[in-house]
Amino acid sequence: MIGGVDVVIPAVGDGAALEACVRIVQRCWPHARFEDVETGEKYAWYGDIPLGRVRELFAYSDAQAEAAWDADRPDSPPNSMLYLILSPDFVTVVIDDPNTAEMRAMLESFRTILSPIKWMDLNIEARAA
Amino acid sequence: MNQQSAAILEQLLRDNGLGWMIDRPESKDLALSSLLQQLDKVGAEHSRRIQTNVSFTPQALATVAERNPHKIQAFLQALAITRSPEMLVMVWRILQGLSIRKVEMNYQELDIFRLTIVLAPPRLGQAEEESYHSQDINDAALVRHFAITTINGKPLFEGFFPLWKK
Repeated sequence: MIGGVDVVIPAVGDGAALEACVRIVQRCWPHARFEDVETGEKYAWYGDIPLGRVRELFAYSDAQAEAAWDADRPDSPPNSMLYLILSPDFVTVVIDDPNTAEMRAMLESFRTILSPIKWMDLNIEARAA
Repeated sequence: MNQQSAAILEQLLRDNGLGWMIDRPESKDLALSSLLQQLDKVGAEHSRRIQTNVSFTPQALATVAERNPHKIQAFLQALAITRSPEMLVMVWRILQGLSIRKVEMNYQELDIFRLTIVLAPPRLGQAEEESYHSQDINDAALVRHFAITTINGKPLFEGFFPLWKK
């Protein structure tokens, strides 16, 4: 992942945003596996992830990719891992190459699914004003 | 009414910006009692449909909220929308990770409303599908909680999210 590309998506970076992204990952990579970057805890199914507590998450395309990344093998296949980082005003997706067809589709899904969640939160601010 | 359960439910509702559900002039206790009964019905409906027991007690919901607060917020918002245990089980199943396979809504002014939502585990086929039905037009509001996106230009409802936050 060294040398990866940061893609910054405006959004409220909370558990709901992470769930939205992870659901897309699981859909595109049905055998995806996940890892809490801060604790190292691993999850074979996104439903097991404590989404309200995780701020940074690795998503591997499958168990093989996870093993390759864990072993820090130089032959880890490109775009076999996403690094999702939550911030108050955005979600950052770190990937090897955002220009492949698979990654373009996934990033577009992230942007679209996160967009209404962001606007919902702005509605709250409007309601409170 | 179990006072401990009522107190936990009240706290959950207030923590999630839903205190208005119980702040009724007639009686807060009545409202809490009604909601606790509703949660019991959801548990019974879940057991009947899914053949597994899941607790919908306020204590159980509070435990889930520690790990996934947005899921409980979404579920409680659904509790404010619908009186249908079937629809609330549908919501819960999406929160557990099921995919929204199909949505059919049939509406005719001053005549009919029918909503059918079909769910399925993301990795399994048609045999695992679960269908949920409603004829209560208020349940149309549940669909607003589905996140909307596309994959390769194809339409996708994904997940059930809180519509507003605290």
